[in-house]
Amino acid sequence: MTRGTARLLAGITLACCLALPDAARAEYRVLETPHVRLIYQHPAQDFIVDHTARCFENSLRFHSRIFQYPPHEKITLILDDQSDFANAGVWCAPRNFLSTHLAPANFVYETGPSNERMNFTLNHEVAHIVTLDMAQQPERFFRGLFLGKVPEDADHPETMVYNVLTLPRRNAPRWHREGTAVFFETWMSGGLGRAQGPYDEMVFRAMVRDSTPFYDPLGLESEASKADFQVGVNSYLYGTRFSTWLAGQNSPEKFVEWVARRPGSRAYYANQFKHVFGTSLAQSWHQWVDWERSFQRANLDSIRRYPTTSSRDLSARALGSVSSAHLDSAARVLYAAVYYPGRLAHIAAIPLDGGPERALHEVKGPALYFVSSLAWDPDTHTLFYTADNDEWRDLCALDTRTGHSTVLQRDARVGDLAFNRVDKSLWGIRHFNGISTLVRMTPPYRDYRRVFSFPYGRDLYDLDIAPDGTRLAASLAEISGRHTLRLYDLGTLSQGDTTARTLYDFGASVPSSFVFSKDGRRLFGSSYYTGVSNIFRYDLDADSMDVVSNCETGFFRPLDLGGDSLVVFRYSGQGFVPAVIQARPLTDVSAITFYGAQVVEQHPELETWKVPSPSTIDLDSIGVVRGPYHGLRSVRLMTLVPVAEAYKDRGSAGLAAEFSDPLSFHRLSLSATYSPQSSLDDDERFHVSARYERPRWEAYARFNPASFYDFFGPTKTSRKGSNLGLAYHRQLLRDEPRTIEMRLGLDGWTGLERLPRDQNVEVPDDFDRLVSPYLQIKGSNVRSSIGAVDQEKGHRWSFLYGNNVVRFHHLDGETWLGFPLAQATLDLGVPLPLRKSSIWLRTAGGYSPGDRDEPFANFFLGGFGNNWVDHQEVKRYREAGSFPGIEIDNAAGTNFARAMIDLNLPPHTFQRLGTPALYGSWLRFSVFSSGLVTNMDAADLRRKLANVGVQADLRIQVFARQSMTLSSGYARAFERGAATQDEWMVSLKIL
Amino acid sequence: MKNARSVFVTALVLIGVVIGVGVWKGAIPPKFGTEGAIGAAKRYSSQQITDSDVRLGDGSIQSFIQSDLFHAIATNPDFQKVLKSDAFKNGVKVDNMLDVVADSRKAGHGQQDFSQLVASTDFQQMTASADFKKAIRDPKVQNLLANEDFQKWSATEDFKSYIADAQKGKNQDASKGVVKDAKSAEYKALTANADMKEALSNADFIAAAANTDMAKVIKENQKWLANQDFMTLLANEDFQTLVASEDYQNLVASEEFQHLVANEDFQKIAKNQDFQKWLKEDYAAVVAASEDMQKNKAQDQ
Repeated sequence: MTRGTARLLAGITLACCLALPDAARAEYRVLETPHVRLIYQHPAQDFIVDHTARCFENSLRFHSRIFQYPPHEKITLILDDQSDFANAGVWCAPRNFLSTHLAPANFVYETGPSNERMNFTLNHEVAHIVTLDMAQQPERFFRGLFLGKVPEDADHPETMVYNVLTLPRRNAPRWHREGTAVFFETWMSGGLGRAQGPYDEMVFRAMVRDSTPFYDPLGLESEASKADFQVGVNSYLYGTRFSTWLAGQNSPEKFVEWVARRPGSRAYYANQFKHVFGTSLAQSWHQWVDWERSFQRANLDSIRRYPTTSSRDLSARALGSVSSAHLDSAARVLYAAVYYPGRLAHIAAIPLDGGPERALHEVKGPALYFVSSLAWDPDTHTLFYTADNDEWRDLCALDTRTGHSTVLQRDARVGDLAFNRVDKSLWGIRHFNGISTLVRMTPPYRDYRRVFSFPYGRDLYDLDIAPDGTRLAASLAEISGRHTLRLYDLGTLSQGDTTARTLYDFGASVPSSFVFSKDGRRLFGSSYYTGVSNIFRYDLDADSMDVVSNCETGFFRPLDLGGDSLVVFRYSGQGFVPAVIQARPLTDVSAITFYGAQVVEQHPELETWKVPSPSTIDLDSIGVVRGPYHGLRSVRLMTLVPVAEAYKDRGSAGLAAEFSDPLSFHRLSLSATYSPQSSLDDDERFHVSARYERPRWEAYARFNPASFYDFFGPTKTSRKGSNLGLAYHRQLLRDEPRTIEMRLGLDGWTGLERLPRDQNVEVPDDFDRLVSPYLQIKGSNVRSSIGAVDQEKGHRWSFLYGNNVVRFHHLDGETWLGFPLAQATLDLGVPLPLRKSSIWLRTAGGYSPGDRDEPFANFFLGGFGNNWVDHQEVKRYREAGSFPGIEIDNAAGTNFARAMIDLNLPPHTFQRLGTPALYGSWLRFSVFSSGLVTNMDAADLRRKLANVGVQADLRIQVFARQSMTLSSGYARAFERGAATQDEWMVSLKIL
Repeated sequence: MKNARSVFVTALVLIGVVIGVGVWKGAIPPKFGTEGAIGAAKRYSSQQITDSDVRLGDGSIQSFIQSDLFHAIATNPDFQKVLKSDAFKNGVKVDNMLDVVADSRKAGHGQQDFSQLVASTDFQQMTASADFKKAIRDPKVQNLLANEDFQKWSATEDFKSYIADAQKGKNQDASKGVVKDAKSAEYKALTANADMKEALSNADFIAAAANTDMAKVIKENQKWLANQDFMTLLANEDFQTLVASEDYQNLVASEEFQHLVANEDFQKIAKNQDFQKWLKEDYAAVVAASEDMQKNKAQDQ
């Protein structure tokens, strides 16, 4: 290749990058007060911005008063509409950052009682920020020293320590943080919240009833998040309950003293607990468990004062989270979407006459608790269901006879489906830009028409249509958190007239899943009216409501079987169990006691925690500035920290700096270190790295790059030389879990001694310069069951084309030569009958037409690839360049093919291995065997190798927040005509 | 007897005291777990936030965003094509078109109603005609349709016979490829302009005028056809495809659409430059930008 050709190639690559459209052009606006930088999409979200700012200021005022917290930086708050249901999250390093979805709340099983979403969400999230961000000595000193709060950075793992030093309260378990925020949210909302949540009461009542052991703080973090169908929600459940008990037994002020970081407090949450309460956290936890058992026994006794309703289970096992169910009378089965540990979420056919449930079709993107929204057309045997339930929902149709599923509408954002058998219309609720809209679809259901958009804060849910097709029953939530059961006339509703008959006002209780009886004269649904989720029957003729069950745990999602028989879903510790009950009106059903109600009686000061109306906040008097968001202008130096790296086995020390804007649209990372050893040439003592990233773009420059990880183990990434690069990357397909990503880049080196990616391969003596344009496309569609530690099903593929364009320097001049290379991988996996286990076929192949003697034209494979201390993928043996059993880069060739069978055995989750500050979470084993052929087109140079190996990975949690993985592996490699080789691998992945 | 009466009175007083204490303590009437009662669980709740506590900003943009029209714009590939087309992005000034809508509104529901135009069968047939699609690409034909004299003439019998003759080839000199003159004064005035004459000779235009009810469309929508932005849109192939699509026809025939286009708030929103910018951008960019932003963050909660 000539110099001109190389330049042309580089030019074309760059032109391709620039020609690609930059889709990240959406306009953001900002509303700033002295305390918040509220960023939103203009003009769509204009309507909610001021209210959000008022809610924020309202919440911050409360927390500042309670915690004596003077905000020392603006909190960045971004509104988005990325999900169909409300949710939010916070980050505290390097800035305080709060992200909140605009969508309506989810009312399923009344797991999260709430009032107006912004008011409620910000009460919760600001509690997180304040309790995490509060600082005393020594963190104030370290924040000053490092110029801010240091986030972990995989390139510089010392930042883990700096993070602990600058943000010590982040190192607390999730149950502690969520329990705290929920406690505040409840009392700031005047009692509406999970601290008085009926679902929470049910969970602990069921545990006591069934003599299920309680997790201790260690088991809660290590096992419950993996083995239980509610996974991470257990942190909310236990945390809320323990926090409420603690405040009840002591006082709200004592509780605040524990979670606050006031002068004289201890930095570590557990130490502060002992400091405040004079006893250990573990001891208190045991006391709470004893108390909880006795409290729930009293509630169970109260329920049992009257005869309880017996049920006949339709399934031998609990099905975890379940959707609404639909009855196929002809086939005598129930259809419901289910989601439980060990299986991918699926639509199940549950026989009414007994027998195991049968999986009909996988549900893509299931949601915890409601899994998917379902509607049933018995005439065409079509089950309508939703996918991507935690994002923008797709509408799908499943033929229950063939199991064939079709996507009808992508990103329709419609759920709460109901089918009108009379005119074949499908109804649903769309969530878009914060608004609930009733929509109607007609065959072939490829689009919808709006019927009515409810005002902000009024959300319709749990729809059902009468068998005669004339009426629609639904529940309506209001801003106050009040819920009513309503009946609409479909004829007038179709004309946009939303006049409804309010059947029953449930107050703060959710009227859940009310459905018509077979004759259309009654509605059956559930409510925690008595504190326990019982089944209620509403007689439309008599205009009367009756309770028809007295349950010890909770009955949900009733379905009329005819006569007095109802299918219900009974709550158990392992999830919901389909069962049949006889539903007859009861006159005697006792209520239970909510512990939260007792606590507020004992400590009436909690009544004063209720925040005033957000409308009392006068933004103008606070001082508001509005305008467009300018990312580049907002870039600031965030942290400056000392770092250490290794270069050619020599240590180096220096500084690393991070610059960014609040939305991280522009990020600049700089590091410079110096190796003082005289054994290094002068021109190799400085190590500089600069990386600039913005959405879809990345540019970097490095000089003699060094790495912290080169201190440890066989894998070395430091290189002599100067490196410049530019890359453009974007997602070509984003339909989780289906993704396709593209990366197009240009990478250049001078002064290299060894190949950039192959540490054991020296460049030729006459090497002068390397320019590598490349294109990489990666696709993935892998799924796993709830609580899994690895992918269990699907496929993953990649294609890489690159061209190593090299300038060689000879005595007689310079020559440019190009060495194109192409490499592809394909992995296919299926789950095994053993829970959370899978088997994968992993293949890789590469081809280069270049000179076999030229290093730049070869592929190099070998070794596990893990370093003793590492930050990359734990299962590195799966990657195309690995071949455990032989030395790194030992097998070379201008072409190669590799196939691997990878058996991933079920992980073992530990309930108790270590202490809350350092514990093992799970251990998993993988066994693999692979075959490799190189230089397939040259018999004399061809190598055929095989290997067999095993790898064990132990997940370790440090200070509750930091996940590390200790891996150990062994592999033996075989090659015809050569001695067998083996390799041991030990690695600790720290970030 | 007196003693008995004292006992009776004392008993009454005692009962009264007991009842009074019971009421005061909340034990009467019984609320929890009594025979024949469904006990409502007691949860503490104070006065909750109400609608008046939630002060929202201007809802007009929200109203439009929630409409079927916006849904179609955001999701229908035909709408997307039009929005992304260079003709729409660079050539169409929504404001000018909206002025025509506003003018027609002031004049009451009449011939210039945009919603009636785009929903009319004649208009859809005309734009679906292959001849019209070809003809309208010619700027001279565009100018012709916008021309006031032509619009007047097109309503006459002379125009009809001119087109009919031209279609039959009677007034066409095949050897020269030109169309013979019509007789009316309007025609003469019109063809004083060479471009207009050339446009009237356009074979595709003649075929379109002969095979569709173009004259009726022109008569009923003179202002629209005089609008250069609308004409740019009309000449856009993507717009022609959109107008021919069933989804579009259903949408523009819907009451909501008719109501929306006639709504003053909608006029304001649609004229809002920021909104136009937002609308013309790929809607997915909003999501993409958010995702890019979130990607680099490690969530604390």
